[in-house]
Amino acid sequence: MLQTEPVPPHLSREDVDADRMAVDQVSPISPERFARLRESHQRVGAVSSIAPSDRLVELLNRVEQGEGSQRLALLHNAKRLALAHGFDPVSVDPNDMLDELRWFMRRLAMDEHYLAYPEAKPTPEMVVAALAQQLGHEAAEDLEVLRRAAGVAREKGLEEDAYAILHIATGMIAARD
Amino acid sequence: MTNAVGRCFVLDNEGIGALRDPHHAKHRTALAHVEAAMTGKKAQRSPIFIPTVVRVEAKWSRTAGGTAGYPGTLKFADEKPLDSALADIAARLHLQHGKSVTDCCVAATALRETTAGRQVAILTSDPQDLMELTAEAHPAVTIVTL
Repeated sequence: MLQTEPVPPHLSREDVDADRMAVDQVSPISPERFARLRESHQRVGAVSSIAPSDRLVELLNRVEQGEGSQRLALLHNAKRLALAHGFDPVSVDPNDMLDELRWFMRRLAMDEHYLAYPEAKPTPEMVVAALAQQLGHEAAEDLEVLRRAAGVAREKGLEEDAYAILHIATGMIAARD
Repeated sequence: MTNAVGRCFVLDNEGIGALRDPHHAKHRTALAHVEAAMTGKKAQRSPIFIPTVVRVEAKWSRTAGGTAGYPGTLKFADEKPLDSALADIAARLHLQHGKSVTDCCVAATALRETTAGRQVAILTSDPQDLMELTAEAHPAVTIVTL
């Protein structure tokens, strides 16, 4: 199975095999189950047979069900799989590792979706507008301010930081009023 | 501006519909809301909840194959089961307002989160009913129109 699994463009064969082994160590996947998963993902337009986020979901679910040393071993495997896909454990409190891995899995799932549907990725302006709406921020009704704030943030290299953009927008509104 | 610490994001059926279909007219907007919920430092991030009843209405079966089993764009969300305490809140809302069972369950999920001190945003394409159902917790609940 290791030889037949396709290698996504952003990974090496070693990464794919390491992921596979990380999952297989704790969860042997039968050929039948693997085929069902592959078929399911192909039906919904996934870019590879089993998305890395799916593997991580499976591992994290097993971590939550595990106990004692088994749980630690499962968490180690989940972390190793996440590391292979860009997880940065620096500054993560070990007590928060499971929660942080969950957040990383979500990030990974979103990025996988954008890989398959690049046109679906929202712009920073769209994200900060959504954040303003969720927070009930006054800038939610002032898209021009948000657009200008996003421009300022871009100049500062903060275009991906929605909170920073919202902070700049707050200052712009205060200055205006 | 509302304090962002301790917030959560609740999806209703329309939100799920927009997220699961990459060709949905509001798919990108819905993803912007998910990104907004996930952005920031740990204390700023917002868990995303899907009430169990909403999952039923969306015909989302984890055991069904094909698209009913669901694509990766919904892996970011956690299901909020309908337990007895939540059912009590939803039933009260249903009795008081006569709105749909699903909307009452979505509102009940939001109201209970506010009692835990969380600021809640609900993503919906039909804001009027949810505004009425969550008015008692205003301004801790924000209705976000998709």
